[in-house]
Amino acid sequence: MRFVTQMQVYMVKQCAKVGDATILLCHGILKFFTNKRNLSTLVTEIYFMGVMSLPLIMTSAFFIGMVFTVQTYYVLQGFGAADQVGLVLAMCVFRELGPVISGLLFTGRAGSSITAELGLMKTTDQITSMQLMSIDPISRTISPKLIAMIIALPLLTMIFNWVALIGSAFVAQGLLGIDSGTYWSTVKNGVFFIGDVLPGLFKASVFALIVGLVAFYHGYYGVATPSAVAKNATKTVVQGSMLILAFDYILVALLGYA
Amino acid sequence: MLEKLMIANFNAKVKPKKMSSLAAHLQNVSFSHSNSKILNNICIKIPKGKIIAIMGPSGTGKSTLLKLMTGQYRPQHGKVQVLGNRVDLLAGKKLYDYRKSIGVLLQQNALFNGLTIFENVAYPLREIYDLPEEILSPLVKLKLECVGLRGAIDMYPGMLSGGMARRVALARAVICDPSLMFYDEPFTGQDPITRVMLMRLIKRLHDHLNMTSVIISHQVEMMNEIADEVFILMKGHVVAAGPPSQVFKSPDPLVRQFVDGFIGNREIGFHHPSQSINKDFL
Repeated sequence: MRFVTQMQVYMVKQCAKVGDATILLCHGILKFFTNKRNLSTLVTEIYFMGVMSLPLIMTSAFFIGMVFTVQTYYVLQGFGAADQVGLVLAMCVFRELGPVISGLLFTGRAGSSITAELGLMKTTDQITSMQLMSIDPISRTISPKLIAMIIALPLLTMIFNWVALIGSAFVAQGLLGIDSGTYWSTVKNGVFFIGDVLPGLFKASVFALIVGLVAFYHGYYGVATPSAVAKNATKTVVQGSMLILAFDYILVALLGYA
Repeated sequence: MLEKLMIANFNAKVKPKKMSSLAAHLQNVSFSHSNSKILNNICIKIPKGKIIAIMGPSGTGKSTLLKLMTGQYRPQHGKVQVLGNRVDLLAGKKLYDYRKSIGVLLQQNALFNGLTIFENVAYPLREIYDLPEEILSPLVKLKLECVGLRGAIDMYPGMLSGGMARRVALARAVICDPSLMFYDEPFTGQDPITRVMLMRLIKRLHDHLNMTSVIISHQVEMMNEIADEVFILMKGHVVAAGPPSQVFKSPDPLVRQFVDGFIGNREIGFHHPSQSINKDFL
């Protein structure tokens, strides 16, 4: 009986946390438009989260494209369909690998840094001092970052998709001897923008919101001590990654891939 | 010339709602946190234009009192009236409007490490008033000149000493010419020379900006020198109030203990309340 009561208390606390995080996220989106200086901050944040993430995203995409092509090629060869490797790779990347892996990498790079930055601001009373200066910290610190995430992650996903295809083509044509025309024509004929590319980008936008939800919650509401900041950054990566994978399934089911 | 310029406020201050001789009035304020009573039925009147010192040993609720007056905390009982505003009832935009008329120097300075000294001081002006650069720049330089750091405008907070960082934080706190200035332990962690320099600076800013200043401090000698009125807090109560010359000479054992720095068997004990010693050691 005591266990049940404890579980109930725990569940209520968790629901309250989700509620707090969701309210923070909604304020973050709505308050973006309350300060015109947010536009210039947005450009800086997109540069930090998007442009500075490019080396990680592009390197990962290139090697994932190459590895996936080699693995798929030998399986397809058994069915006499080795020339379809480009199509298989493209479908996987545009629908699944692109948004999910970009989301996971983005969580590790941008999500953890946001949590650490907000945590440090809280530890050093910078958030309090903003409030005391009549400056809304949600509007000036969270809003531009959140909008930057929603813009940057789909763009990074698009770049991931194309770099993975290039990596795949490099291996398929250079090492596996697949004709360039065959490779690209299967991709062109088999991948559709509305059916394959757009849902992937939509998923990336949802993943950006999820990363934002977790990162801002742990940064803004987390305990403000140096060790807690490090733990919160870790929590952001772990919880953000798990939520991305869970929501990937939910979105796939909703979007009709299942 | 510089001092005249300092008085020539660019900023239309948020005017108090009611004309009163009091800058702040706390009536029967009680505040508890995590089942421990921090402030118990406190009554404090802070007259306009004066330097008020709120003193007392650590953990007696001095910073809590400041947080109540700045709207960071809400009391469980009582009224907190500051510059004509019922701060305990303010929220959202009204609270932010109220805070435009006050300045706060925090213990940690809370400077933005990624911004230069100039940008740190200019930050409230840029964010709140959106002033053009040609107006903003001389205002910021003027305030930095007042604290003796005009030559450091391109430096970053990480490059400053503790005393310099405190002066930058002070310049930022007064950049919008507040009517009421709160200092949360401004001398903590400073060397004796910097302490005296900061004390004179606070006094000079107070006089030239026509502010009311509330200083939370442990420095008996300094408050004796600059404060017009002193409140000594102990165990969540005001145990003494009045001009420093009277308060610091008070025969009250609690006041004597704080002023003279005794521990002994006097009222404020060394030990935090705990269970019987037998339970832990025998």
